[in-house]
Amino acid sequence: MLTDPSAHRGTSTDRFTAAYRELSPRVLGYLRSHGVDDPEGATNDVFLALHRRFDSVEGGEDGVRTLTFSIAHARLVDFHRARARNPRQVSFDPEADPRRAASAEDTAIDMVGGGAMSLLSSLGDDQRQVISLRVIAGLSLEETAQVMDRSVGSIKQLQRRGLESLRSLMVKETIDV
Amino acid sequence: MSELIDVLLDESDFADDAVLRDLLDELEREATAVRPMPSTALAELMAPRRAPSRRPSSARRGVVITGIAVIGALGLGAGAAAASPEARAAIGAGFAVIAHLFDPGAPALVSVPILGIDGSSGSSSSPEPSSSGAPTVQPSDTPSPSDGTNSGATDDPTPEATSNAQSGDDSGDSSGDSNSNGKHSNGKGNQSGHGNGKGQGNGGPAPTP
Repeated sequence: MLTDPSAHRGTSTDRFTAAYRELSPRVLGYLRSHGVDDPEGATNDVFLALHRRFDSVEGGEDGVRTLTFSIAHARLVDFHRARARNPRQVSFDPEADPRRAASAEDTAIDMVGGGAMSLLSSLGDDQRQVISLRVIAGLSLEETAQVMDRSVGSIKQLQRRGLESLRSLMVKETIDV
Repeated sequence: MSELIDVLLDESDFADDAVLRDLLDELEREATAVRPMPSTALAELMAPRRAPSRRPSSARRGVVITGIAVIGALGLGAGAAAASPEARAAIGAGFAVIAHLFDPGAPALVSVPILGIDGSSGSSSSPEPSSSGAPTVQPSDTPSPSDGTNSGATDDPTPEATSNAQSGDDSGDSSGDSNSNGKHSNGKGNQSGHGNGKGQGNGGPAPTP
Protein backbone atom coordinates (compact mmCIF):
# COMPACT_ATOMS: atom_id res chain seq x y z
CA MET A 1 0.00 0.00 0.00
CA LEU A 2 1.52 3.31 -1.04
CA THR A 3 1.45 5.77 1.82
CA ASP A 4 1.70 8.95 -0.27
CA PRO A 5 -1.82 10.44 -0.55
CA SER A 6 -1.13 11.76 -4.04
CA ALA A 7 -0.57 8.19 -5.19
CA HIS A 8 -4.32 7.71 -5.16
CA ARG A 9 -5.51 10.81 -7.00
CA GLY A 10 -4.41 13.48 -9.44
CA THR A 11 -3.12 13.14 -12.93
CA SER A 12 -1.14 10.23 -14.21
CA THR A 13 2.02 12.29 -13.76
CA ASP A 14 1.12 12.98 -10.14
CA ARG A 15 0.51 9.33 -9.44
CA PHE A 16 3.70 8.28 -11.18
CA THR A 17 5.70 10.86 -9.23
CA ALA A 18 4.19 9.63 -5.99
CA ALA A 19 5.02 6.05 -6.92
CA TYR A 20 8.60 7.07 -7.68
CA ARG A 21 8.90 8.91 -4.38
CA GLU A 22 7.56 5.95 -2.47
CA LEU A 23 9.19 3.06 -4.27
CA SER A 24 12.51 4.31 -5.65
CA PRO A 25 14.44 3.93 -2.35
CA ARG A 26 13.16 0.39 -2.08
CA VAL A 27 14.03 -0.46 -5.67
CA LEU A 28 17.49 0.98 -5.14
CA GLY A 29 17.92 -1.03 -1.93
CA TYR A 30 16.69 -4.19 -3.63
CA LEU A 31 19.18 -3.78 -6.50
CA ARG A 32 22.00 -2.85 -4.12
CA SER A 33 21.36 -5.90 -1.97
CA HIS A 34 21.97 -8.06 -5.04
CA GLY A 35 25.21 -6.40 -6.06
CA VAL A 36 24.12 -4.59 -9.23
CA ASP A 37 27.01 -2.52 -10.58
CA ASP A 38 25.11 0.72 -11.13
CA PRO A 39 22.06 0.48 -8.88
CA GLU A 40 21.00 4.10 -9.40
CA GLY A 41 21.11 3.81 -13.16
CA ALA A 42 19.25 0.50 -12.99
CA THR A 43 16.63 2.12 -10.75
CA ASN A 44 16.08 4.85 -13.33
CA ASP A 45 15.73 2.20 -16.02
CA VAL A 46 13.14 0.41 -13.94
CA PHE A 47 11.02 3.53 -13.58
CA LEU A 48 11.36 4.47 -17.22
CA ALA A 49 10.04 1.03 -18.08
CA LEU A 50 7.29 1.42 -15.50
CA HIS A 51 6.24 4.75 -17.01
CA ARG A 52 5.56 3.13 -20.37
CA ARG A 53 3.05 0.79 -18.78
CA PHE A 54 1.88 2.95 -15.92
CA ASP A 55 -1.52 3.90 -17.32
CA SER A 56 -2.42 0.30 -18.04
CA VAL A 57 -1.56 -1.05 -14.60
CA GLU A 58 -4.42 -2.79 -12.87
CA GLY A 59 -4.78 -3.36 -9.15
CA GLY A 60 -4.16 0.16 -7.90
CA GLU A 61 -1.07 0.93 -5.88
CA ASP A 62 -0.47 -2.73 -5.04
CA GLY A 63 -0.46 -3.45 -8.76
CA VAL A 64 2.03 -0.64 -9.30
CA ARG A 65 4.28 -2.00 -6.58
CA THR A 66 4.15 -5.53 -7.95
CA LEU A 67 4.83 -4.38 -11.50
CA THR A 68 7.70 -2.18 -10.35
CA PHE A 69 9.46 -5.02 -8.61
CA SER A 70 8.67 -7.41 -11.44
CA ILE A 71 10.60 -5.06 -13.71
CA ALA A 72 13.38 -4.69 -11.15
CA HIS A 73 13.60 -8.45 -10.74
CA ALA A 74 13.80 -8.93 -14.50
CA ARG A 75 16.61 -6.38 -14.66
CA LEU A 76 18.39 -8.21 -11.89
CA VAL A 77 18.13 -11.52 -13.72
CA ASP A 78 19.44 -9.85 -16.88
CA PHE A 79 22.32 -8.36 -14.95
CA HIS A 80 23.38 -11.70 -13.48
CA ARG A 81 23.12 -13.41 -16.84
CA ALA A 82 25.26 -10.74 -18.45
CA ARG A 83 27.79 -11.01 -15.69
CA ALA A 84 27.90 -14.81 -16.09
CA ARG A 85 28.64 -14.37 -19.81
CA ASN A 86 31.22 -11.64 -19.30
CA PRO A 87 32.80 -11.97 -15.88
CA ARG A 88 34.00 -8.68 -14.55
CA GLN A 89 37.72 -8.55 -14.03
CA VAL A 90 38.94 -6.40 -11.20
CA SER A 91 42.28 -5.88 -9.63
CA PHE A 92 42.93 -7.43 -6.26
CA ASP A 93 41.62 -5.34 -3.39
CA PRO A 94 42.83 -6.50 0.04
CA GLU A 95 39.88 -4.81 1.67
CA ALA A 96 37.51 -6.97 -0.33
CA ASP A 97 39.30 -10.22 0.43
CA PRO A 98 36.94 -12.34 2.56
CA ARG A 99 39.89 -14.17 4.11
CA ARG A 100 41.04 -11.12 5.98
CA ALA A 101 40.23 -10.63 9.64
CA ALA A 102 37.93 -7.76 10.53
CA SER A 103 39.53 -4.84 12.26
CA ALA A 104 38.30 -3.63 15.61
CA GLU A 105 36.78 -0.58 13.91
CA ASP A 106 34.86 -2.71 11.43
CA THR A 107 33.55 -4.86 14.22
CA ALA A 108 32.41 -1.82 16.16
CA ILE A 109 30.67 -0.39 13.10
CA ASP A 110 28.95 -3.70 12.49
CA MET A 111 27.71 -3.71 16.04
CA VAL A 112 26.12 -0.28 15.78
CA GLY A 113 24.59 -0.96 12.40
CA GLY A 114 25.41 -1.45 8.74
CA GLY A 115 25.75 -5.20 9.00
CA ALA A 116 22.26 -6.26 8.04
CA MET A 117 22.93 -5.87 4.32
CA SER A 118 26.16 -7.82 4.58
CA LEU A 119 24.33 -10.58 6.44
CA LEU A 120 21.73 -10.68 3.72
CA SER A 121 24.41 -10.99 1.07
CA SER A 122 25.60 -14.14 2.79
CA LEU A 123 22.40 -15.95 1.84
CA GLY A 124 21.91 -17.97 -1.32
CA ASP A 125 20.36 -16.22 -4.32
CA ASP A 126 16.82 -17.52 -3.96
CA GLN A 127 16.62 -17.02 -0.20
CA ARG A 128 18.11 -13.55 -0.57
CA GLN A 129 15.60 -12.60 -3.23
CA VAL A 130 12.66 -13.76 -1.15
CA ILE A 131 13.82 -11.96 2.01
CA SER A 132 14.64 -8.76 0.11
CA LEU A 133 11.34 -8.74 -1.77
CA ARG A 134 9.44 -9.23 1.46
CA VAL A 135 11.41 -6.89 3.71
CA ILE A 136 12.89 -4.26 1.39
CA ALA A 137 10.24 -4.18 -1.33
CA GLY A 138 7.41 -4.80 1.11
CA LEU A 139 5.62 -7.36 -1.04
CA SER A 140 3.23 -9.94 0.31
CA LEU A 141 3.78 -13.66 0.00
CA GLU A 142 1.56 -13.86 -3.06
CA GLU A 143 3.13 -10.82 -4.74
CA THR A 144 6.60 -12.25 -4.13
CA ALA A 145 5.50 -15.51 -5.73
CA GLN A 146 4.17 -13.56 -8.70
CA VAL A 147 7.39 -11.58 -9.15
CA MET A 148 9.61 -14.63 -8.89
CA ASP A 149 7.21 -16.73 -10.95
CA ARG A 150 7.03 -19.44 -8.31
CA SER A 151 4.35 -21.01 -6.19
CA VAL A 152 3.40 -19.52 -2.86
CA GLY A 153 4.43 -22.73 -1.12
CA SER A 154 7.95 -22.62 -2.52
CA ILE A 155 8.28 -18.97 -1.57
CA LYS A 156 7.15 -19.75 1.94
CA GLN A 157 9.71 -22.50 2.21
CA LEU A 158 12.52 -20.31 0.87
CA GLN A 159 11.48 -17.60 3.29
CA ARG A 160 11.63 -19.88 6.27
CA ARG A 161 15.02 -21.24 5.29
CA GLY A 162 16.32 -17.78 4.69
CA LEU A 163 15.24 -16.59 8.12
CA GLU A 164 16.84 -19.64 9.71
CA SER A 165 20.08 -18.90 7.87
CA LEU A 166 20.04 -15.31 9.03
CA ARG A 167 19.42 -16.43 12.59
CA SER A 168 22.34 -18.84 12.52
CA LEU A 169 24.62 -16.22 10.91
CA MET A 170 23.76 -13.78 13.68
CA VAL A 171 24.53 -16.35 16.33
CA LYS A 172 27.84 -17.18 14.63
CA GLU A 173 28.80 -13.51 14.45
CA THR A 174 27.93 -13.00 18.08
CA ILE A 175 30.14 -15.92 19.04
CA ASP A 176 32.99 -14.62 16.85
CA VAL A 177 32.80 -11.21 18.44
CA MET B 1 6.28 -1.65 7.04
CA SER B 2 6.97 -3.25 10.40
CA GLU B 3 3.57 -4.90 10.16
CA LEU B 4 4.83 -6.80 7.15
CA ILE B 5 7.84 -7.94 9.16
CA ASP B 6 5.51 -9.14 11.88
CA VAL B 7 3.49 -11.05 9.31
CA LEU B 8 6.68 -12.45 7.78
CA LEU B 9 7.95 -13.70 11.13
CA ASP B 10 4.56 -15.13 11.97
CA GLU B 11 4.35 -17.00 8.67
CA SER B 12 7.70 -18.67 9.39
CA ASP B 13 7.09 -19.43 13.07
CA PHE B 14 9.56 -16.79 14.27
CA ALA B 15 6.95 -14.52 15.76
CA ASP B 16 8.64 -14.41 19.16
CA ASP B 17 12.17 -13.90 17.89
CA ALA B 18 12.98 -10.32 18.85
CA VAL B 19 16.57 -10.52 17.62
CA LEU B 20 15.50 -11.56 14.16
CA ARG B 21 12.87 -8.89 14.19
CA ASP B 22 15.43 -6.19 15.01
CA LEU B 23 17.67 -7.48 12.26
CA LEU B 24 14.89 -7.28 9.68
CA ASP B 25 13.94 -3.78 10.87
CA GLU B 26 17.54 -2.70 10.49
CA LEU B 27 17.74 -4.29 7.07
CA GLU B 28 14.71 -2.32 5.91
CA ARG B 29 16.04 0.98 7.26
CA GLU B 30 19.47 0.41 5.80
CA ALA B 31 18.23 -0.59 2.38
CA THR B 32 15.76 2.25 1.99
CA ALA B 33 17.84 5.05 3.46
CA VAL B 34 19.01 6.43 0.13
CA ARG B 35 16.63 8.09 -2.31
CA PRO B 36 18.07 7.92 -5.82
CA MET B 37 18.29 10.98 -8.00
CA PRO B 38 16.08 10.69 -11.06
CA SER B 39 17.84 10.87 -14.38
CA THR B 40 17.12 13.73 -16.75
CA ALA B 41 14.72 11.67 -18.81
CA LEU B 42 12.88 10.51 -15.72
CA ALA B 43 12.74 14.01 -14.25
CA GLU B 44 11.15 15.27 -17.47
CA LEU B 45 8.50 12.59 -17.22
CA MET B 46 7.70 13.69 -13.69
CA ALA B 47 7.73 17.42 -14.39
CA PRO B 48 4.30 18.96 -13.90
CA ARG B 49 2.57 19.87 -17.12
CA ARG B 50 1.92 23.59 -17.42
CA ALA B 51 -1.45 24.85 -18.53
CA PRO B 52 -1.28 26.58 -21.91
CA SER B 53 -0.92 30.30 -21.37
CA ARG B 54 -2.70 32.92 -23.43
CA ARG B 55 0.48 34.80 -24.06
CA PRO B 56 2.02 33.71 -27.31
CA SER B 57 5.09 31.67 -26.88
CA SER B 58 8.49 32.93 -27.86
CA ALA B 59 8.50 30.57 -30.84
CA ARG B 60 5.21 31.98 -32.09
CA ARG B 61 6.44 35.51 -31.56
CA GLY B 62 9.55 34.63 -33.51
CA VAL B 63 7.45 33.40 -36.40
CA VAL B 64 5.42 36.63 -36.40
CA ILE B 65 8.55 38.79 -36.34
CA THR B 66 10.10 36.76 -39.14
CA GLY B 67 6.93 37.09 -41.18
CA ILE B 68 6.90 40.85 -40.75
CA ALA B 69 10.55 41.02 -41.75
CA VAL B 70 9.95 38.94 -44.87
CA ILE B 71 6.98 41.07 -45.89
CA GLY B 72 9.03 44.22 -45.35
CA ALA B 73 11.88 42.87 -47.41
CA LEU B 74 9.50 41.92 -50.20
CA GLY B 75 8.01 45.41 -50.10
CA LEU B 76 11.43 46.98 -50.35
CA GLY B 77 12.31 44.72 -53.25
CA ALA B 78 9.09 45.55 -55.05
CA GLY B 79 9.71 49.25 -54.54
CA ALA B 80 13.21 48.98 -55.88
CA ALA B 81 11.95 47.06 -58.88
CA ALA B 82 9.26 49.62 -59.54
CA ALA B 83 11.85 52.37 -59.51
CA SER B 84 13.79 50.69 -62.28
CA PRO B 85 12.60 51.66 -65.78
CA GLU B 86 13.57 48.33 -67.25
CA ALA B 87 11.65 46.48 -64.59
CA ARG B 88 8.63 48.68 -65.13
CA ALA B 89 8.75 48.05 -68.84
CA ALA B 90 9.10 44.32 -68.29
CA ILE B 91 6.20 44.27 -65.91
CA GLY B 92 4.06 46.28 -68.28
CA ALA B 93 4.90 43.97 -71.13
CA GLY B 94 4.12 40.99 -68.97
CA PHE B 95 0.71 42.35 -68.18
CA ALA B 96 0.13 43.01 -71.85
CA VAL B 97 1.03 39.45 -72.75
CA ILE B 98 -1.25 38.07 -70.07
CA ALA B 99 -4.06 40.33 -71.22
CA HIS B 100 -3.45 39.19 -74.74
CA LEU B 101 -3.79 35.59 -73.73
CA PHE B 102 -7.22 36.24 -72.31
CA ASP B 103 -8.27 38.60 -75.02
CA PRO B 104 -6.65 37.94 -78.37
CA GLY B 105 -7.98 41.22 -79.63
CA ALA B 106 -6.03 43.20 -77.11
CA PRO B 107 -2.74 44.70 -78.24
CA ALA B 108 0.30 42.71 -77.31
CA LEU B 109 3.69 44.23 -77.00
CA VAL B 110 6.45 42.24 -78.52
CA SER B 111 9.28 44.49 -77.65
CA VAL B 112 10.09 43.52 -74.15
CA PRO B 113 13.48 44.39 -72.87
CA ILE B 114 14.84 41.67 -70.74
CA LEU B 115 17.32 42.62 -68.15
CA GLY B 116 20.67 41.06 -68.32
CA ILE B 117 20.79 40.12 -72.00
CA ASP B 118 23.99 41.40 -73.53
CA GLY B 119 22.92 45.00 -73.06
CA SER B 120 21.76 45.44 -76.62
CA SER B 121 18.13 45.07 -75.94
CA GLY B 122 17.89 48.38 -74.24
CA SER B 123 19.00 50.30 -77.29
CA SER B 124 17.46 48.32 -80.08
CA SER B 125 14.11 47.38 -78.79
CA SER B 126 13.44 49.74 -76.02
CA PRO B 127 9.87 50.86 -75.93
CA GLU B 128 11.03 54.39 -75.54
CA PRO B 129 9.36 56.72 -78.00
CA SER B 130 11.44 58.21 -80.73
CA SER B 131 12.32 61.79 -80.57
CA SER B 132 9.89 62.56 -83.32
CA GLY B 133 7.14 61.81 -80.93
CA ALA B 134 5.76 58.93 -82.90
CA PRO B 135 5.90 55.69 -81.06
CA THR B 136 8.03 53.13 -82.72
CA VAL B 137 5.72 50.37 -81.70
CA GLN B 138 2.44 50.51 -83.43
CA PRO B 139 0.25 47.78 -82.12
CA SER B 140 -2.55 47.25 -84.47
CA ASP B 141 -5.84 48.31 -83.06
CA THR B 142 -7.62 46.15 -85.52
CA PRO B 143 -5.89 42.85 -85.69
CA SER B 144 -6.22 40.77 -88.72
CA PRO B 145 -8.71 38.03 -88.07
CA SER B 146 -6.68 35.65 -90.14
CA ASP B 147 -3.57 35.91 -88.02
CA GLY B 148 -4.15 37.21 -84.58
CA THR B 149 -0.80 36.35 -83.21
CA ASN B 150 1.13 38.57 -85.49
CA SER B 151 -1.28 41.36 -85.52
CA GLY B 152 0.28 43.62 -82.97
CA ALA B 153 3.86 43.16 -83.92
CA THR B 154 4.22 44.72 -87.26
CA ASP B 155 3.50 47.99 -88.82
CA ASP B 156 1.83 46.15 -91.59
CA PRO B 157 -0.47 43.58 -90.14
CA THR B 158 -0.80 41.67 -93.34
CA PRO B 159 0.57 38.15 -93.36
CA GLU B 160 2.97 38.97 -96.16
CA ALA B 161 4.50 41.82 -94.28
CA THR B 162 4.83 39.68 -91.28
CA SER B 163 6.59 36.97 -93.13
CA ASN B 164 8.94 39.51 -94.65
CA ALA B 165 9.73 41.03 -91.37
CA GLN B 166 10.50 37.65 -89.99
CA SER B 167 12.55 36.48 -92.87
CA GLY B 168 15.81 37.10 -91.12
CA ASP B 169 14.69 35.89 -87.82
CA ASP B 170 13.56 32.61 -86.51
CA SER B 171 11.04 34.07 -84.22
CA GLY B 172 7.73 33.01 -85.50
CA ASP B 173 5.78 34.24 -82.56
CA SER B 174 5.84 37.94 -82.40
CA SER B 175 3.71 38.16 -79.37
CA GLY B 176 6.51 38.38 -76.92
CA ASP B 177 9.63 36.56 -77.93
CA SER B 178 11.86 39.28 -76.78
CA ASN B 179 15.00 37.22 -76.61
CA SER B 180 15.25 36.68 -80.29
CA ASN B 181 14.19 40.19 -80.86
CA GLY B 182 16.90 41.66 -78.75
CA LYS B 183 19.57 39.39 -80.00
CA HIS B 184 19.08 39.86 -83.67
CA SER B 185 17.97 43.38 -83.87
CA ASN B 186 21.36 44.75 -84.78
CA GLY B 187 21.78 42.75 -87.91
CA LYS B 188 19.27 41.88 -90.50
CA GLY B 189 16.64 44.30 -89.78
CA ASN B 190 14.15 44.25 -87.12
CA GLN B 191 11.83 41.34 -87.23
CA SER B 192 8.86 43.44 -86.55
CA GLY B 193 9.90 46.79 -87.74
CA HIS B 194 9.23 48.39 -84.50
CA GLY B 195 11.31 49.89 -81.78
CA ASN B 196 14.32 50.64 -83.91
CA GLY B 197 15.44 53.46 -81.79
CA LYS B 198 18.76 53.70 -83.48
CA GLY B 199 17.81 54.64 -86.96
CA GLN B 200 14.64 56.56 -86.71
CA GLY B 201 15.54 59.11 -84.16
CA ASN B 202 16.99 62.49 -84.89
CA GLY B 203 19.88 62.02 -82.59
CA GLY B 204 18.37 63.52 -79.55
CA PRO B 205 18.44 61.57 -76.39
CA ALA B 206 15.43 59.56 -75.70
CA PRO B 207 13.63 60.69 -72.63
CA THR B 208 13.76 58.22 -69.89
CA PRO B 209 10.48 57.47 -68.36
